[in-house]
Amino acid sequence: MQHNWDNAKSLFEAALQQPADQRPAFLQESCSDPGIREEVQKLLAYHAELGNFLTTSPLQRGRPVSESRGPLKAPGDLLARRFRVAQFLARGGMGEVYEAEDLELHEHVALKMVRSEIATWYPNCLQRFKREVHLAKRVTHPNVCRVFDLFRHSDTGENGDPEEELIFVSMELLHGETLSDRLRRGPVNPGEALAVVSQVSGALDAAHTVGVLHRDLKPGNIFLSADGSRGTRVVVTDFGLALSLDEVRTDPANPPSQGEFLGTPAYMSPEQLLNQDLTPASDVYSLGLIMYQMVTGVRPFEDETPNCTASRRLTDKIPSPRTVAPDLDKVWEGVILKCLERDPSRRFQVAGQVLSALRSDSGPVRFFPKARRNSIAILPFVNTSGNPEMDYLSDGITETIISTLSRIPKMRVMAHSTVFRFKGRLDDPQNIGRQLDVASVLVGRVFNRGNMLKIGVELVDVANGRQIWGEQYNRNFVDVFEIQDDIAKEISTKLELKLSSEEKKHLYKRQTQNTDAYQLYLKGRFFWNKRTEHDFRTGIDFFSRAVAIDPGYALAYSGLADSYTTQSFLCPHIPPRELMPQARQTASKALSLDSGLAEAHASTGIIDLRYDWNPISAEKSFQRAIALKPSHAIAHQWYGECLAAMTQFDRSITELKIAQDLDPLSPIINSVLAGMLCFGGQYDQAIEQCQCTLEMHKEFWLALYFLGLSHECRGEFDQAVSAFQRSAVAAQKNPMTLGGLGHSYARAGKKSEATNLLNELRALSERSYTSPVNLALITLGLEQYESAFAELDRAVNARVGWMVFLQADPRFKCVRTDERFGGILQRVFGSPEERRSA
Amino acid sequence: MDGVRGEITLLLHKMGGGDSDAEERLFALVYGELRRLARIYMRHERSEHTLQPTALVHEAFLKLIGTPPINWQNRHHFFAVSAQVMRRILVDQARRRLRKKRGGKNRPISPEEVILCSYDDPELVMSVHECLLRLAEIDERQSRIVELRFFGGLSIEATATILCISPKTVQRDWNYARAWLYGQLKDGHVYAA
Repeated sequence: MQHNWDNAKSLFEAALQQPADQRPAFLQESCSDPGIREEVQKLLAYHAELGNFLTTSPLQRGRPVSESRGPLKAPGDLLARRFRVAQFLARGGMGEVYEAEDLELHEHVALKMVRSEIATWYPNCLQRFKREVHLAKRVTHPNVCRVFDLFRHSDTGENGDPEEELIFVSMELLHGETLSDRLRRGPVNPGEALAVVSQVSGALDAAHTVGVLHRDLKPGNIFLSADGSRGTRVVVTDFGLALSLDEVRTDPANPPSQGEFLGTPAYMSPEQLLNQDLTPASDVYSLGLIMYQMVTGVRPFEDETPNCTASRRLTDKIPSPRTVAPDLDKVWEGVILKCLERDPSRRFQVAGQVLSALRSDSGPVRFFPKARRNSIAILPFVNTSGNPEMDYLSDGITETIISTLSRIPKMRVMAHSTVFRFKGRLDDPQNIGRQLDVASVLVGRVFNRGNMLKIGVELVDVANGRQIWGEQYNRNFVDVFEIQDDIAKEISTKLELKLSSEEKKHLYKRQTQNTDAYQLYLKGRFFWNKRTEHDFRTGIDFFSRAVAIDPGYALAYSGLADSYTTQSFLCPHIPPRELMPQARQTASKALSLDSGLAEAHASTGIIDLRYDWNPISAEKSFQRAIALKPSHAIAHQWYGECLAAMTQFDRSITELKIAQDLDPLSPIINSVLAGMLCFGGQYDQAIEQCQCTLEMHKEFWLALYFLGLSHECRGEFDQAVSAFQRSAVAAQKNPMTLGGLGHSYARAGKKSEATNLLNELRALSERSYTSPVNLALITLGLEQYESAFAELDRAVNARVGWMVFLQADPRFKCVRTDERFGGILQRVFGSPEERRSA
Repeated sequence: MDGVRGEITLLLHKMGGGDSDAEERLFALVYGELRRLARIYMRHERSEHTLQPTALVHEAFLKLIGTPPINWQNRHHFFAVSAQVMRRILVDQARRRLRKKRGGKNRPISPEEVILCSYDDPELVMSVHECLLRLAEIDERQSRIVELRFFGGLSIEATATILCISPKTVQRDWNYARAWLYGQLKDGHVYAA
C-alpha cells in the first residue's frame, strides 16, 4: 500500500512535468503496473479540475457580520416621541445609524442605535453606552463629532405588550464620507494627508488633555466632511472604545483584557495587542498606521497571510513606507516610522508633535533617541544540576553580577527581588525584558559535576530578541570568581559602557579570595532573601561562618548587619536592644574593612535611623551609599523612610519612586511607598499603591497594613478594620498588625474589640517582650492617654524603631499638642535646638 | 494574564511531546479567548470590513501568549497548534450546523458563531476533515500540509518553514494531496450528515 502510494506520487509528479497531451504516453512508458497507472491517470484528471479547491481556508472567507438583516427602522418612524427617522445611513457593529429630525429642536441629527440582540449579549450595555456619551461629552473640539444625549425607546407590539427596548445616542449629523471610503479609491496626496493629520492630531490632543484615549482610531472612524469655505473638515467619531486615562491608571493589572473596550485589531498598537497599559502614544501609533496607509495605499505587512500580519507588527521592524511609495518625502517617512515605534516611549508623546514634525522646514527631523540603553535585567541563573542544594550557587552568582553591575553610574540594573520573580518561569527573555522595560536581558545556566563548574550565559537584545553575546565557561570550582569577573567584563564591553578607571576598579574589586567564604556568603544571602525568622537565623549562621574563615570579608559583615536589622523590624518580639547592637557592631566592622562599600553605608544608615533615631546622620550614610552605588534600591528605600521621619514627604516619595523604579516588583519597597504616601497625607494615592502591590503580591501584610491605615485616615473605618484584619491574618498576628487593628477598632467605635486586643497584647508583654508602640496605638485610639504615654515612655526606653515616625504617623496627631508628647519627642529626637544645630 | 501565558508556553512544550491533555486544555483556553474576541469584533467592526476568523484565531493566540516565540522551534509549535485549533473549531461548528440541518435542537446563535459560521459549506469542512484522518495514515506529511494550508491559512513558504522542508516539496505534496482529496470527495466519499 505504502509502496504503491509512493510510486503513484512520483509518477504523478513526473507526469505533471510533461505537456498534458504527452502524459498518457509517458505513463504507459514509465509504469508497468496497470493499477498504479490507472490511479495516476485519475489523479491527473482530478488535478486538471482542481481550480480553487482548498486554496482558501473557510476561515479566511469572512463576510460582513450583519449583511442579512435589513434596517430596523423605516423613514417616518418616530423614536422616543422626539425623533422622526429621515433615512438609514450605515450599519455598524452595534447596530444602525440613521439620520433623523429632532422634532423638539428642529434640526437634523444622527442617531446611533444598538440592536436589541446585541444589547442582550452585553448585560451592562446601557452602562457602556452611558459611559461613551459621558466620555465623548468631555471632549469638545471642532474635529470631534459632537455627542448630544442618550435615549431609550420601546415599541409597543401588536398585542399591546412592550417589545424590547432600543438604546440610541443622538449626535452631530455629518455629511461626506469616511476616510475608509476615500482610501478605497487609492492613496491620498500629501496635501490632503496633511490636512487629515493636522485635524486628527488636534482632535486627539483635545481628548488626551481631558484624559480620554480614543483607543479605536481607524479610517472608518474618521469622517471627511465637505465644509464649503474651508475645504474638508475632518471629524473623529466613535469614542465608543475610549476609556478615560484615570481608569487605565487605576486598574493597571486588569485594563482592557477583561473588559470589552478594545480597538479594531488592524489599527491596534502593539501594547494594545498585548493588553499592556495604554497612553496617548497608543493613539499616536494608530495615527501612524493611518498615515502609512494614506500615503502608500496599504498597511504594513498587508499582503502577507493573515496569520503573519498581526504578529509581524509585534516582532518585525515596520518597513519604510518608501519601499511602497519611493517618492515619499523623507520627513514624512521619518515621522511615520517614529509614530510606529514598537516602544511607546520612542514615539511622539503628544499628537500635536506629529504635525509640527511634518511642518518643520528646518532640515531633516531628528528621530530615534536611544532611550534606556543602559538598562539590563540579569535573570536568575538556572540551576540545571538537578540538585536543589546548588540553588544557592546559581542564585548567588546572579546576585553578585547584579550587585557588581549596580555600581556603574547611569546603569539601570533591575534589582534582585524583581528579577527573582521570574525564577523558574518559562517566559521568553525578550518578553520579560519588555515587561521590565530594559534594553537587554542576561540569562545563564549553571551546572556542576564534582569540582567542575559550567556556566553558560546569553545576552539578549530586548528590541529584536537577538543574542548580543553568548559564552560557555568550563572552570574548576576554585575559579568561580574569575568566571564572574569574565562575565561582568564581557557584559560591560557588549553594552559599550565607557567605564572610567575608578568605576573599573569598583567593578572588579573582589571582596574575598577565599572560595569557601564566598560560598558561605552566597548561602547567607540566599536565606536572607527568604525573609522568614527561621531563615534569618540560618543566614546569620552562614554569614558568621564566612567571616570566621575570612575575617576581612566586609560584604559578609554587611550581610550580618542587614540580617539583624531586618529581623528586628519584622520580628517585634525580640527587643531591639538585643539585636541592634549586633547590627551596629557588624556594620561598623564592614565599614572599617572597606570604607567604599555602599552596602555597609546603607546598613549603617538604617541603624542610625531605627535605633538611634538620628535621621540627620542616617541621611549622610544613605547619600554616601547612593553615591557609591546609584542603583542600590534598598538604600533609596531606607533614605525615603528617613526623609518621611523628618516629615519631608515630597523628597521621601521621590526616593521611594527611585527605589521602585530600580526594583518595581519588590513587595517591601512598594508597600513602604504606600505607607509614606499615607504619612504624607496622600491617602488616595496610598490606597491605589496598596492595591497595585496587592495585585502583585496577594495578601502581603505590610501593604494591607498601610491600606488599613489609609482608609482609617479617610474616615472609612469599616474598610480600615477589614484591611487590618486581613493584615493580621497574613502576618500570623504579628503584634504590629494587632496594634494597627486595635487602633482602627477603637476609631471605628468598636471599643470592646479594641480592648480585647489590648488585653491580648498586654498578656503577651507580660510573658515576653513585645513592642510597646502597638499597645500605645490601641490606647491612643481608646483615648486612654495616661496609658498611652506610659507605653510610649516604655517604647523610648526599649528604643523601638517605629518611634522615628512619631511626627509622621498620623495616629499620633491627636496628642501632638500634649505637653507629654513634646517630652517624648525631645527624648527621641533631642531638643529643638539640638535638632537645629545638627 | 502572566499565569495564562506561562501555562500556554508550557502547554506548547507538552504538545510538542504529544500530550493530548495539553491539547485539550490549550484548545479550551484559545477557544475561550476567541469567543471573547469575536464578541468584541461584533461590537466594533463596521459593516464595510469583512471578518477573517483566521486573523481572529491568531489574535487569540497573541493575546494569550504575548508575543510569538522568537525561536523557531516554538514558532513551529505556535503555528502548527493554531492550525490544529482552527481545524477543531471548524469541525466543531460544521458538525453542529449539520446536526441542526437534520432537525437538531434549535439553539440560539451566539455572537461568535455569527463570525465562525460565516463559511457556507460545513459539508466540505467535515469531508476534508474525515479524508484527512485517512490521509494521515497513508502520508502523515501530506495531511499536515493540508492542515496548515487549508485550516491554518498558511502560505507555501510558511508551511515549508514549519515542516523544515523546501517550498518545492510542499508544492508537490500539496498538488498531490489536493488531487487525491478531490477524488475522494468526488467519488462519493462525501461526509453524510
